Amino acid sequence: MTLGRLILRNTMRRPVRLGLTVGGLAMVVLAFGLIRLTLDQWQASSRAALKNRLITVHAMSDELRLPLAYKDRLTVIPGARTVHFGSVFGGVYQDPKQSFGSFAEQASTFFETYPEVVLSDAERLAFLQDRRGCIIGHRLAARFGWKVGEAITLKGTVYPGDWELVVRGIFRSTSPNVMGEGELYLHWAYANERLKTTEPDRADQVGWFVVRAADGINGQTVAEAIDASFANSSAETRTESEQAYFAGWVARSGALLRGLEWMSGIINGIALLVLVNALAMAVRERTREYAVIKTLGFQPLHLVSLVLGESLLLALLGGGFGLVLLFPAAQLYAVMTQDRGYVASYSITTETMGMCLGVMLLVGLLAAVWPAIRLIRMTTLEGLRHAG
Amino acid sequence: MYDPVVTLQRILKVYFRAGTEVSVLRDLSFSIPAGTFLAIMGPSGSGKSTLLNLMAGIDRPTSGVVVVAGTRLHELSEGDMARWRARHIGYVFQSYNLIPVLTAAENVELPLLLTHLSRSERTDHVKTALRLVGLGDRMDHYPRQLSGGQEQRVGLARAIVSDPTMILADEPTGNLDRESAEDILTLFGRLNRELGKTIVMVTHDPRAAERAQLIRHLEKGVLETPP
Repeated sequence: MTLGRLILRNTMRRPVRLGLTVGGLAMVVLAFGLIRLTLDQWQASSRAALKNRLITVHAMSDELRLPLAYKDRLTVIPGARTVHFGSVFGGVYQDPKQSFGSFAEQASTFFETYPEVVLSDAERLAFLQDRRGCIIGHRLAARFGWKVGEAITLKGTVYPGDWELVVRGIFRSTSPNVMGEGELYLHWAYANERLKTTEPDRADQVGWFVVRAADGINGQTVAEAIDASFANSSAETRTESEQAYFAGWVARSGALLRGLEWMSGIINGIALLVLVNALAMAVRERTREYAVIKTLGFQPLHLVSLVLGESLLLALLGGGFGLVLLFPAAQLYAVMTQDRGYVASYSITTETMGMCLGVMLLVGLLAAVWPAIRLIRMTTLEGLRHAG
Repeated sequence: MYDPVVTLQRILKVYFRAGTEVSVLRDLSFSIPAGTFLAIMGPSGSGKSTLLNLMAGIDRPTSGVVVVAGTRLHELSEGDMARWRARHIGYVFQSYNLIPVLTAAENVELPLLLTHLSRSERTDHVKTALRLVGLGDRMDHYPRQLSGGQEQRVGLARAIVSDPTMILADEPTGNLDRESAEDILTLFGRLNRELGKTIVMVTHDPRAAERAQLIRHLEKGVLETPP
């Protein structure tokens, strides 16, 4: 017999209450874990982005476009290795609700700019040779059942009209947080060609340039040179590393992120209340037993260890159970949100697991404080007289 | 000549209930020789249990001196008092007060967790104590699987397992049928006669008190002078 065994027996004493408490804590960990996962994934794009890939957009707003003519001036900036460009295409398949990320990109520089794209040589060549061709991520292919060689018709929103495309390749990505596997890429030249006839004012404009800095060259120096070269023009530029660009995008979503962080704090508060309630009930019911234990000669510290042990055990059981549920829940979450374009996959990192268990340990510690104080203050006589 | 194991001098115990001062023990002085089996009798509210709790070190007098087993209890801190209790006092409750999630053996072993005995030594002590009270075959039973008399015998085994200086019993037969009560009183008698244990038993049952060597009556906080 040890005090550890007594802690275990006390914890298991009321199976229904144990189940409800652990279940409640598990739900809290599940909700907390999913929020952390969302926050992690949001920030993962900036972590995974390449430092030497520079993004140049309109200085006023990402929504405004830049003249295609900037390309030639960018090419001669010292330290710039390749200059790529693209725009949001905004394609919809059949139903406006079936949206996904679709982008018009300069095909000739696409693969060099985004080495994350994994595609067979044959599919790569087929895409480059067909102006109506497109490549799609394997998740998008699975979503609509599209095959290589299949003709698909998209309704353009940014580039209006019906667009007949042919799937020339299905790719995977080595970094899904940067190059999503639920997206479609087509030739910018093909999209621009049509625009020249339908909306000539909008033709020959791009949403962004992507400049890869040469190896050994400080990207920041190149970025500053780019912005300096377009200073005081009608469309000034803002250039930053892809990492900084994504980080800025995450920061601009600050209110939402802060809201989610607040929510995870509130969820932890709920966990604390669930556990404090369960412990307080248990300690109240066992007041007389604790007094008997004190009568036998045990110190208040022994009683604190009994309560603290039970609290930590409950918290860890809830945390562990919640983590077990988090894995299938994350998969389900990924399936439900994969067509939204923001998040490519939900992988539960050791950091997320550690955070969930760490938070539960903290909740376990805090939840034991009040019942422990009550036990320390309780005299043996008061406890023995307790009619619980 | 005798060697007193308990000495109480001019004990006053006052409680405050709803703003009113209630004197439970009044200028009480007496001593108990080592090896005595003493029964303290008295009606409800006479202060019997309070007196027992003072001797057990789970209550403190408002004034006066309590010396038990050579220690001046009123001078000890709560922590020191608990340590002292673990060494010197075996307490038997009226309502047994066993821990329901522990087996008979585990309940008896509980006080030994405060000693430096090894696991096997603790197990030996537990077996000896439970055999002494006639429950060698009920070691793995939980309290809910035992009768009231058996529960109280487990309570007695728990009180004696650490070989305390004295055993204090608060109405130990109060919740038992006659037969079980006789068993418990017989055990008290054996512990006193064969092992020389000092036993102080609080009871309002004259038949239980008769089994003790000495009987003292407590009336409104004052001990009657023995004839």
